[in-house]
Amino acid sequence: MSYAYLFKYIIIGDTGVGKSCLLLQFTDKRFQPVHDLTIGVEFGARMITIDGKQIKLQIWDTAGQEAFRSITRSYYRGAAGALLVYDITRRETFNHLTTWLEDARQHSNSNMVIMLIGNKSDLESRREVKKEEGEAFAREHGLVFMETSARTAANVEEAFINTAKEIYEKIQEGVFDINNEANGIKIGTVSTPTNPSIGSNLPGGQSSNSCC
Amino acid sequence: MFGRVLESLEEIVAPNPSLFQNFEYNWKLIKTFYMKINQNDQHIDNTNIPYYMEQMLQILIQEETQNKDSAKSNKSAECLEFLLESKPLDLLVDLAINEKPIGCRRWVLKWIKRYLTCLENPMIAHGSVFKPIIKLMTVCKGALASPYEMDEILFLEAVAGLIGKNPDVIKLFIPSHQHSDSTTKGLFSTKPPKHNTLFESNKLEPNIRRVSLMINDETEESSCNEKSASPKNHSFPKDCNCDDGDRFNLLDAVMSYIESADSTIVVRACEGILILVSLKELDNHCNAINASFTELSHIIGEKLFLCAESIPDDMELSDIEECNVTWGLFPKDDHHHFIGRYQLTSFLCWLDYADCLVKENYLIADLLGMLFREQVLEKNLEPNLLELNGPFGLVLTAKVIKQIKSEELLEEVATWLVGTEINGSDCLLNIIIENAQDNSEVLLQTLQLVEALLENPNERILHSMIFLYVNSRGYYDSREIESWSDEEEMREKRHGSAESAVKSRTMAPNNILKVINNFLLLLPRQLMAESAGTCYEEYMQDASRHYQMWIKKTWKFNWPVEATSPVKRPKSPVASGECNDSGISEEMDMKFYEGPLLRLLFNQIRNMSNQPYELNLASIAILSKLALLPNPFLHEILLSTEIPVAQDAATLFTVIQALSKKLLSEIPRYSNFSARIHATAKRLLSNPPLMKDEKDQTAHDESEQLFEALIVLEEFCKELAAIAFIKYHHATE
Repeated sequence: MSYAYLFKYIIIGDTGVGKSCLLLQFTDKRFQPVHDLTIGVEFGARMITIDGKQIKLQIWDTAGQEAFRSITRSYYRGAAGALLVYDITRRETFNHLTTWLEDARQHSNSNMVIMLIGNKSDLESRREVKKEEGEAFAREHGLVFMETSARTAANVEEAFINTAKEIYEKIQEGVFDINNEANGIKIGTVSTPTNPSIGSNLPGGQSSNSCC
Repeated sequence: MFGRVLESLEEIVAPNPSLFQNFEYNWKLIKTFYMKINQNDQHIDNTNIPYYMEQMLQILIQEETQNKDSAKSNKSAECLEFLLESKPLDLLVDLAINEKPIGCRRWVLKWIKRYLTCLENPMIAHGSVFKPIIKLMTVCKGALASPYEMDEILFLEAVAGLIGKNPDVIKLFIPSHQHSDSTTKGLFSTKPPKHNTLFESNKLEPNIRRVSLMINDETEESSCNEKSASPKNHSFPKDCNCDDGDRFNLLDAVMSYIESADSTIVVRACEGILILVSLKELDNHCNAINASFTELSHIIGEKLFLCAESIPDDMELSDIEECNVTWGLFPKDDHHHFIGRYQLTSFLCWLDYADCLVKENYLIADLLGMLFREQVLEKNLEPNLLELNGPFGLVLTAKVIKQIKSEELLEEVATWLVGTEINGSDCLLNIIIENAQDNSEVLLQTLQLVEALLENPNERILHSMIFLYVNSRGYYDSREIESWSDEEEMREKRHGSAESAVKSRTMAPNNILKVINNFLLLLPRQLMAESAGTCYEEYMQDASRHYQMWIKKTWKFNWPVEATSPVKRPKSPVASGECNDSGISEEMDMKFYEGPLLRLLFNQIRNMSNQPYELNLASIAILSKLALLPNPFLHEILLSTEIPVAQDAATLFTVIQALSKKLLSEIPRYSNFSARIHATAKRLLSNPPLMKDEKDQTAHDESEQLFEALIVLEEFCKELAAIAFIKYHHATE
C-alpha cells in the first residue's frame, strides 16, 4: 500500500498498563485479556487516512519494566509521536508519569507529539485516578489527553489518529523537518510489507532515505 | 432455574477440583506420558504435553492473581510451592536438553520464558528455579544455529530482563559468586512477600513434608543463621575470587547470537546485551564480568571494523550522506537500493549500537571507544582520507560524526582528529583542512566534514580548529584603543545603573545598529536585487531558533563571556605562553594567523565570484553556523564590523568588503546587469532554486557565477545582520 507519509510512534508507560493491548486493539481490532509481558520491543503498523491522505503508522510497543529502559531509550530517537499510557486503576502508574515524560523529552526530538492516555476506562469501579487529574497533568505539561479502553476499544482509534493529526498539523506548519528522517516522519510512495525484516545480518532492518 | 439446580448438584457430587489438584493432575499427565517409553519418538506437537504445560502455567498465574486480590485471607500458594519442592522444572529441562520427545526443547524454552515473565514473582532466586534455568542456558548457543534460535534468545532475554528487575540475582549467574561470598547468602533468604501466604502456610499444615522455601540445600541452610540480619547489599566483594576462566555466562550466551543470520535474532541479542551492561549494580571488580565485557567490546569492535572495511569506496557520495539508520527492530521498508547499501547500513547500525552501549557502561566505553578509534578511525578512515579516496573518506567520516550521539565516542573522534595535546596545531584535522585549500576535488566534502563537526560540537575539536588561533585576539589592533570591550566597560561604568545588566558586552555592543547597517548597506543600492530578495527580518526567526540550539549544545564548554586582549607582559617569552593559551607568541610584529579553517573560509569568500554556486553556499552555511556560536572571539572576528583590525589580519567583514568591491568593479561592465541581477535573484530565491541547465551553464559560466555570487553575498549579509541582532538581543535579555 502506498502512503503519503509514514509516522513513527512509540508507546511508553509502566508495565501492565495495557500498552501491548492498545496496540493490538488498534492494529488487529481485538483484545487479549492475558498478554505475555513484552520483552524489549515489539512492532505493529496500520494505515489511516487524514485529510484525504493515506498515512502509515509504524508503532513500537516497548517494555514497561525499568530493566528494559536502556532499550526503550534507543527507540525514542526517530519517533514523531509517543503514547504515554497509565492505568486509571493503579495510582502508581500515574505517579510515574513525570519520570516517563522526562525520559521521553530527554531522548526524543523536541517536536515529538506526546499523547497522554489513561487506559482501562472500562474498569470504572476500580478507578483510582480521576479523569480530571489526567486532564490537569496533560494541561500542565502540554500534552493531549484521552481515556481509553483497550478492552472495549473505546477511544483507541481516536488516540492513535489524533496523535497523527497533531503531527500532520505540525508538518503543515513547517515545524517538522520532513526531510530529516530522524524526526520519525517519512514521505513515501512505495508499497511495504509489515513484517520485521529477516535475512540481513544487521542489528535491525533499517529504513532508508526518502524517495522524493 | 432448573439449570442452576443441576449445577449445584454437580458441585456436590463432583466438586470443582482445587487449583492445586488441577495443577498436580496436569503434571501427573505429563509424567505418565514419559512412563510409556515407546511414545518418546513422537513429535511433541502430536502429544498433549504442550496443553498440559499451558494448563500448569495458567494455574500458576491464576493462583498468583488470586493471592494478590485477596491478600489478607489465608490462601496458600500450593502450586508454586509444588513447583519449588517437587522440582518439575528440573525434569522439564532435562527432557528439553535431551529433546524427549522431539520438539520438546522449544516448548520448554517457551514455557520457562513465559513463566519468568508472566508471574510477578517467579522466585528466580530459588534453587529449584535458577538451577534448571542455568542448565537450560547451556544448550543455548547461538553458534549452533539451532531451529529454536528465536525461542532460545527470547528465553535468554527474559532471564536478562528478570535480572534487570532483581539485580541481586546476577550473582547466581556467575559461578564463583553463587555460593562463595557472604552477601550471596542473603539471596536465598529474599524476604518472603508480605502477603504471600505461601510462607505462612507452612505452620498450618505440619503433616505435609516441606522443605523450607528459603533454603534450598545444605550449603545455604548452614548459612541461614548468619545472614538473618543480612543488609541489602548489592555490591560484590572488592576482592573478587573469580578464576581466569570464569565468565558471566548469561552475557556470553546472549552474545553468541550476535552472528545469527536472522536479523531479528541479532536485534534480540543486542537488546539482551544492552539490558545486562546497563545494570547499575554491576561491579566492574568482578573478573568474570570483566572478561565477558572485554570479549563483548572486542566482538563489537571487530564488527565495526569488518563492516567499515566492506563499504565499497566507489559508492555514490550522496547515498552515504542521505543514509539514515539506527539499530533496532524495524520493519522491512521500501529501501532505495544503491551500491553498497547493505554494507553501509550494517556499519551505521553497528556504530549506532556501539554508541548506545558506551553510554551504559564505563568499562565498555573505555575499551570499545579505544577499539572504535583504532579499528575504524585510524585503520579504516584515515588511509582513505589521506591517501586512497579523499572524497569518500571525508563523506564517510562526516557521516560517522553526525551519527555519534555519545560523548564517549565523540571524544575518541577528537583524540583521533586533533590529538591529546591541547595546543597541538599539527593534527590530522588541520592537515585535512589545509589540504582542501589547494585541492578543489575535496573542497566540498571537507566543508561537509567541518559542518558535521559543528553540528555535533566537541570542545577539543573546536579549540584546535578555531579557538587556538583566535583566542589570542591577534586580529584586533590593540594599538589603536586599549580594548574595545574595555571601552565598552568604561561606558557601562559611566552610565551607572541606567543600563540593564548585560550578559556579554562583546555580543551586545552599544553600536549594534551600526553593525547591522554595515552588513545591510555593504552592497551599493544599484547592485541590490531587493525586489526579489527577502528582507533580513525573515532570517531572524531561523537565527533565533538556531542560536537557542547552539547555546544548548555548547553551554558546557568553558568559553569566556567577553573578548579581551591578553594582558601584555612584554619581552618575556615565558609569560606570553602563560597568558595566551594559543601558545603563539603575540609579539606586535607577529602576523596574525586565523587558523586553517577560517583561512580556508575567508579565501572561499574572497573567490566567491569564481566559484560554483554550491560551493559558495556550503562556505556561507559554515560561516553562519560559526557566527552563531556563543564565543566572544569568534563573534568579534565574524560579526563585529567596528573593531580596529590589525594590519594584515582579516575579519569576515573585511573579507566581504573586498568581495563587494570586486563585484562592484566587475558587474556594471555587463550591459544589462541590472536585469540580470534581478533574473538571477528570482531564479535562485525561488523554491526550489532553479539551476541553470548544463548547456546554459557552460555558455555563460563566468559571468553567471559572478551574478550568483552577488545574490549569495546579499543574502549572506542579511543573515549576518539577523544573527548579530539576535545575539545582541539575547545578551541584553
